[in-house]
Amino acid sequence: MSFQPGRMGVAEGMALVFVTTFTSIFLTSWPLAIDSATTATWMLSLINGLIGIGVLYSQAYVLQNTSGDLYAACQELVGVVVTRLIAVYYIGIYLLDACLLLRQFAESTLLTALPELSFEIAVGWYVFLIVLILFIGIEAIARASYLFLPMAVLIVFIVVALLTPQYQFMYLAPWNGPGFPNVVMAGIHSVGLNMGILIPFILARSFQNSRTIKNSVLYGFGLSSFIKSLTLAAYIAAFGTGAAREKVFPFYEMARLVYINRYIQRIESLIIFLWAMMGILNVAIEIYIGLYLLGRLFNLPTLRPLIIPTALILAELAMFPGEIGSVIAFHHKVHWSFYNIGIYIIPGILFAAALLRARRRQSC
Amino acid sequence: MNIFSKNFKAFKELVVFQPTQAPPPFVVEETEKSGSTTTQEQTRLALEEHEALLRYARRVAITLEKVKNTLAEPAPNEKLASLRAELDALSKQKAHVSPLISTYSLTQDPLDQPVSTSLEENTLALEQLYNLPYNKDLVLRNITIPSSIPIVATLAFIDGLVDNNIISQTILEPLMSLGRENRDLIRGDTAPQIAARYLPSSQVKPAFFLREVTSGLNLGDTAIFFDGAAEALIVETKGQEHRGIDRPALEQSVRGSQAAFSETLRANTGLIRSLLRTNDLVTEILTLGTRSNTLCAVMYLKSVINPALVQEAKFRINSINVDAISESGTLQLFIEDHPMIPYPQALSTERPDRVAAALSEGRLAILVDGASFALVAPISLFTLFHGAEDFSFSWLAASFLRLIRLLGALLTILLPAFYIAINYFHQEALPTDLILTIGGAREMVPFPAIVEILSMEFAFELVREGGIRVPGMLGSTIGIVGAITLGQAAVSAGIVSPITVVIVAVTGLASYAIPDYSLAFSIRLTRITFEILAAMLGLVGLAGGLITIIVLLCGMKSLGVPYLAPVGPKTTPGYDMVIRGPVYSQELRPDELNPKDRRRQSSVARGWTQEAPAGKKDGS
Repeated sequence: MSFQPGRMGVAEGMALVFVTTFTSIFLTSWPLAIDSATTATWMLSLINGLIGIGVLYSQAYVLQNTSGDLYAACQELVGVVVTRLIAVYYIGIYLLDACLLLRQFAESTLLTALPELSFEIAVGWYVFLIVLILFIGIEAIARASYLFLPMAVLIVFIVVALLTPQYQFMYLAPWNGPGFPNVVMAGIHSVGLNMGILIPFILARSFQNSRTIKNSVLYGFGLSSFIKSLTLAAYIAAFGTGAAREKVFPFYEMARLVYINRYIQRIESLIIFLWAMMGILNVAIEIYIGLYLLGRLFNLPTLRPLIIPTALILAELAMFPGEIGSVIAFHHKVHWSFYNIGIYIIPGILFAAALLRARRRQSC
Repeated sequence: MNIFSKNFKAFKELVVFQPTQAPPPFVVEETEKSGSTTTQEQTRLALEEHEALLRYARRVAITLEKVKNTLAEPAPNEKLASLRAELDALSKQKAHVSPLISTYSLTQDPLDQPVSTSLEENTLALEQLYNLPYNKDLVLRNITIPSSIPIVATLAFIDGLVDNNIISQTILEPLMSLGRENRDLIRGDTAPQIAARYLPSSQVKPAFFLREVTSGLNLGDTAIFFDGAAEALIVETKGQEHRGIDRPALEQSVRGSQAAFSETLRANTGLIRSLLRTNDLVTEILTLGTRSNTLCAVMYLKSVINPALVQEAKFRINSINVDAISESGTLQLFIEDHPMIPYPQALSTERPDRVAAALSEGRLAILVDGASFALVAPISLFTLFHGAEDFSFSWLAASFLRLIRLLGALLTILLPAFYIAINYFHQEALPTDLILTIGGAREMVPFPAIVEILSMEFAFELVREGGIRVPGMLGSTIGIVGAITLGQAAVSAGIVSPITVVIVAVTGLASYAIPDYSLAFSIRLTRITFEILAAMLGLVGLAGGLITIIVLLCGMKSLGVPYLAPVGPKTTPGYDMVIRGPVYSQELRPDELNPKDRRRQSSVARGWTQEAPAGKKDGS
């Protein structure tokens, strides 16, 4: 099948996971999470990380006891029909996420960088770039993501460091929070934000071996969780929960708050580089995964003819909602509910099936 | 004729069409396909066949006359032997002009025809192949080799490609000037005997077909045809005029070798071999171009290089079907992985030391006869930022220089686009004082920033191009004077702001830090695209351009090796890519090349650090 990318290593896998799980920091998902965890929102990301590691090891076990990728493992463990249903679910999840992200990044372009720009042009521009890089291939996208990874981490650290004079560490005091059990529950619910951790398992055939997959998820997701947690802590420490939950683009607001002296201030324009690139990469990766699964589902020889129609359909869908508020609310809702099926239930079923099969084999 | 008539005539001439009296201009006519090709071909074949038979008949008549004269009176043995030899040659020629063989050979490609036993036929064939008498390059020289039976021979060579002294000393003198007493050549085996006994040249090889003969002639060798022999001898007499080994013109270095390639292939391969004196260094010679027959050398270290790379390079070169290639740059365009992307996918260098260093890393070099630049492949983008002196400097200095070059490339790509984006859309990114200064400077300028930048860059490119074309020292002077005058005049005239001049000047200067000319050109093209994107969409446009170009570069390959290695994909660093480590720590060859021998030096390259100093080995 010609849509199979070439061999990818830990660096590529790590970058794919990092980009798809970290980009939420630029959007409204985390300010909305403050409603549930208030001052302890920064812990949500760490709890997500711990759950993600559990998913990682369960799926690694599944792959070790089957052959090929997640799709092939499904076929082996739960049969063709259920596999198709699962594939349809994941296609829906990844394409829906790509569509919602596209809308939010286009809106954020209008709100933060180009207020005079027509909304359709913003969406069209992103779609054009996404189509262009999708034609180059996932391998190149993953490698480019790996190149951006240190830059992203460095910029986040710089912004967090430059905000030091603004911090009120009392905003992070645990007694202002909702209580540990509630925070843990919120962490369990919000894990759907990290659907990207399954990408190396879906593209398993392109990776060198199962250890590469395991390491790439571990490092990529670990780094992403840690930096998200740090950023959220800095965000809450700088704004307090009251103001923080009001903001639409947390990282942009953090950059905007930077004032060291009259030469180092208002650096938010420069941060546009970061979120625009991360956004484009994230949407492109998710569209690719959706199309890849579509290719596996229908046994298609190539993905290329699907790229432009899919991107155009997603762009049209992204422009459907009348206002951004409903998009953000919907995205938050699906993150905390519908996406969790893909993180808990399906991997759980596969893990249980793999375990059962292994025990049966042992007993035989 | 009154004034009315004159005016009427002038008006009439102006308005009314009159056919021109001048001869019709030259227009190349289109070739029309004729339906009678077969008939024409048949007529040509019949004509040539008859001509060959006529030539044979004339020779028979002359020989019979000679036989009659010789036998009329008692003849010495020598004369009889000569006569016998001539009759032998005649009988061999008869075999060639039999109608069946003649028709068969005439329908063949002329180059595939065998060397004839008749000197006349060979001469005619060469005259036809080389378009004599219009073509003055081919020289045909008839000689008689004195021996017990004198042998008539014809020398053929191309004037300008041969060394006349070599021809005189290694062919004419041994064959003609020496006494006939020592010569006792057996008829029928002439060519091998002469090659073995009388030609002192280092390389003499037989040729049985005209293709071998022309191939030798085109390379500067001399062909010798012997009457009655169905083979020719190709004697090496190459002596083409060429430029000597000079200093590098474009890749000058503060330290390191000061030799550069010239236009002669063998001199260039010799230069590389002089730096890598090992039997492991292989030079494979391939031929390029169906008409130019240009020689091309593929060089590599057999025990180091990944064999797949050599195989692929040779496959690509051999598969080129083009009439002429005379430059390594043209060859590069034919064999590179992504011909639609302007970023260079092979290193073009005029320095043998750089080629030798690349070969020892496990890369291969391609040299083309007549080109003074060698191609090195596969490469990564970072290889193009390496300078010749990097290998001679301390690792700190070399790394610093490489970072400066990378920074120069980044500035070249981003600075003007960044200025445009901030000027148009993101003024808040600059401190108030600075934005007021820029605003004040631009107040009187009637054009938008993008027009300012593009027009200044256009002027800068003109100055750069003009500087290259104007010969000698005058070029750089014109460049400097042109840039200063243009900049000052444009600012004084209020066409551009001083800040634009500063930005374009810094960008131009930074672009000179990029060592590779092709890369610098590609970066300039990218910069213009980024400027347009920045003018349309500000930093969002610039970010889009940047991500596209990086993904594009990540997807590129150079002879199958990732273009952004060792960072995209990440491979084990060899400490000589972006940052150059100390020479003794560069233990491994680049991982991405998958060389046969990964280790470049032992883990302790400086053995002396592990032992006592030379004078204190005895413990004193």
